[in-house]
Amino acid sequence: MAVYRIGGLYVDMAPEYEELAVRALPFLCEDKVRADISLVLDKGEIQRRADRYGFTIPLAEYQLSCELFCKEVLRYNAFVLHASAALLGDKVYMFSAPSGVGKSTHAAIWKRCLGGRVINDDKPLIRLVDGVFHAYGTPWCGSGFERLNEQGVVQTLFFIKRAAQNKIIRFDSEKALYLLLESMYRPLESTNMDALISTLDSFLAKVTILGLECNMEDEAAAVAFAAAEGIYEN
Amino acid sequence: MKIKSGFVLRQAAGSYIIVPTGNAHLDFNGMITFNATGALIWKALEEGLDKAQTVQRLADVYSVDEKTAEADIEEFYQKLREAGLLEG
Repeated sequence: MAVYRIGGLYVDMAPEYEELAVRALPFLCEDKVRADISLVLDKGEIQRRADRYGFTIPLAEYQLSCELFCKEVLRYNAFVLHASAALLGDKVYMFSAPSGVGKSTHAAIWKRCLGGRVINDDKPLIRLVDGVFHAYGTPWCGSGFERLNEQGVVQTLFFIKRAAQNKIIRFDSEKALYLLLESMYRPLESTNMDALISTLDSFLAKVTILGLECNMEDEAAAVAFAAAEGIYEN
Repeated sequence: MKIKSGFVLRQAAGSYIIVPTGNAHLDFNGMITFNATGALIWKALEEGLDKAQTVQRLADVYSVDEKTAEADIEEFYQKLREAGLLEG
């Protein structure tokens, strides 16, 4: 069993296939410690998932490990969000959207125009540490393989929608809560759900959440950055 | 009008979400959020208030006329019905 350090947590798991093992490599850790989280990649369960969803076995292992991780982190004031996370200085700017809308594209424009790095392009971890929300890279990075073992303070979360003109949309907290829950793994057990809701309660209070209607031009990143810095007016 | 058993109301940052408990998630795969007005109507349903009593409570709390309150309540019931959270 290998130990990985992900989002400041010690995670043990024994990936058998490269789909997961290669992505997890930057997180491998030499510390001899007792793990906070143990991800049991049961062969029977992997086979069932492969059969049910038509996945290859390596992909089923990747998916199972991801789901277990999403569930286990909930008790550490944390959640995994379906988003791209761009690190600029010590701040992380996050872009969430349903698959295919262009969160990765936007993160790439952001990187090109503003510099910085994408720490995860699919499922970064967000965790409340000492009263501040941090975003961390994780091995679950989708097809883009962007997975840095780095972190930063969450500055702004954008929910992206494709449009002809670049524009910032402001949400009330109900809409923000809905969008957040829609973009993450939702636990079935009520104790886990209560833990998640308590974390989201702090997240909504501490982090700026904005809608970003954007095209694929450089101006999109400029508009988003101005909004994150509080110097944007519609 | 009654809420199906196994669903509870939770609050986050002034907004509300319905959470399935126990095996209730087997019937409910969706997600429903609402504001404080919705929470008031939900709590009235939990207490077993009928529509007329709920109209009265909503009108009192938010100082709105009964017609507006009734329209809000109907709209909310519809939201719950579509989500499959009501029985009867």
